[in-house]
Amino acid sequence: MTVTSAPRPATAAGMPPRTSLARKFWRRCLRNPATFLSLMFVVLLALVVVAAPLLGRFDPLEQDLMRAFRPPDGQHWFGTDRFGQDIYSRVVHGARLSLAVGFFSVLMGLTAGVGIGLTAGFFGGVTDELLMRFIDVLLAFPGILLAILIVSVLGSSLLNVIVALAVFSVPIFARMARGSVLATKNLEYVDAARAVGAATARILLRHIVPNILGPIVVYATLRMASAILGGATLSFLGMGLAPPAPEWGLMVALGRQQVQSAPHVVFFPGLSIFLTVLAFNLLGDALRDVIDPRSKPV
Amino acid sequence: MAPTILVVATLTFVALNVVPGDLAVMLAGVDARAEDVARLRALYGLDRPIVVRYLDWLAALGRGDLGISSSLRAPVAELVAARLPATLSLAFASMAVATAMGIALGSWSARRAGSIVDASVLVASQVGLAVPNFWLGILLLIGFAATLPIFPLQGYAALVRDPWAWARHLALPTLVIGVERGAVLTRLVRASLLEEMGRDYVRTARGKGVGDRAILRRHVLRNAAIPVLTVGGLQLGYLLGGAIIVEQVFGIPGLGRLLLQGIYARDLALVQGAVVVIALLFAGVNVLVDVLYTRLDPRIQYAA
Repeated sequence: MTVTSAPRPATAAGMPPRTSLARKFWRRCLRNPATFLSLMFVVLLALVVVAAPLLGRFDPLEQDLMRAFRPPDGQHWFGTDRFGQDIYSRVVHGARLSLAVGFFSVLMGLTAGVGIGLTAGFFGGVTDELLMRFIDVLLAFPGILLAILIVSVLGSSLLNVIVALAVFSVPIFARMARGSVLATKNLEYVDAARAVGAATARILLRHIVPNILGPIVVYATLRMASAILGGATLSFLGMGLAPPAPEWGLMVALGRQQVQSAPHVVFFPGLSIFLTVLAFNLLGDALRDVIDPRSKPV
Repeated sequence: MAPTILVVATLTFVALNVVPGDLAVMLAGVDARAEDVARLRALYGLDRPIVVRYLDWLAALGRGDLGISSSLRAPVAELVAARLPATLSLAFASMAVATAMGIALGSWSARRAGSIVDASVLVASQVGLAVPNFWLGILLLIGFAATLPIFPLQGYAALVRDPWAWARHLALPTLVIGVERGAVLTRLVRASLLEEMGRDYVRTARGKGVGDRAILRRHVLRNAAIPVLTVGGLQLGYLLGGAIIVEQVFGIPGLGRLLLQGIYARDLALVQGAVVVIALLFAGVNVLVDVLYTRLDPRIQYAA
């Protein structure tokens, strides 16, 4: 291109200009079909979430026993379930629930985790010891067990599922934030900020948090996948939303009884979970390669 | 390890005992007579202050007494012990599948890093990670138990009584967990092999004329084993309690399913007992992994 770009505003010392990351990511998308497809899928999901009422062909809750267990056809693209509810419309509306669970639980877990990690790392000593022991306790419950316990105590509702999955995300963000504070808090520029009288909160937010924005974005994307899967799993176990909510995991659970005669009832909601989780995972991996190429995939 | 268990036990106790609502009423039913509720309250010791109940429970825990299940009317320790073989079988069989898959695919992919094989293995591992295991389980049941009746639909058979039935019952659930855990291990084996193969000692060995195969087997695999062991151990721990979903789908009478039964029935003692045992197993596996480290890498030492 021959167009001369406007001079870039000076960025903080050592920080690469922002556009290069976006451009690198885009280049990776063009080179790697899996990344491109997952980006497209996530964009599609976002559209579905916004336009669910327009895209859904039927009311997702409307029952009509006369048309129960129809296999997929031109009228009912994904068939109907035992109440005659249109599965395609339910899957489309279910995207809202799944993405809401994923997004808000990650946001909550991220905020709490980063807060805990920054505090522990910056103040050190007893504060650090106490907070990190607390994180260890959260990690002592294997897998989804902690989320199951939390929901069984609080009762099942959308909000409680989000809270339970948020707790599940706290440790990873806390550890990451703490690690990066420990790595940066004794660097000269932080000392300099302190010397000119910057408040602790300002030092943390302006000088330390920007360093971990990259990994935060990467982990948030990856946790979206885990949280969506976790939410569906809780619903499958009967600990998430109650029927007739069009929740994907719940739809799989309810379709189980007649799965031999009507496999489509189970197939499409499960496929939606699968593709959504896959897309977020692939996207998270691509972001990691671009933002933080030295880190190892886990 | 002991402090972790104590904290987990305490947390579980507190969480479950601050449940809103009267447990005795819940057990007896809302329209039960007042004297029945009182009888139940006394029977399960719910009429005592919470601190007393906690200390009692902790003391009993120390003796290996997990209390009496209110829904199954049996000692929790016995119920848990009866469920252990199924869970242990499933966990170890799945980890064997996952480890074999992880090492085979991971090293295959690492040796051809950047090739189409490598890229395909990486995408396949993402697929394995993203498949909801309850969905995969149901699909496998439709295919290989209902449509083609090769494997039994539900249940479990004890290994000592009928090894063949045991294997047939475990085949599909093992596959479901093995694919999921194997996907994680494949990525990890690949990443740690690639990291080790770039190190100086590999170049030195190659310079001395050691063959690729020998370098891989004698040097690289040994060093790459440490992160793999860490994650493998963590996963085995997860599976001891975390096979909940797969146990539920395949109707395997394991620890996870017992816990779910307890939760559905609001059976306090059962839930507490199952959670503590799961946490104990999880912590135990982690200790075992730490011991294995020192065997694999003599540089690692723990202060007593």
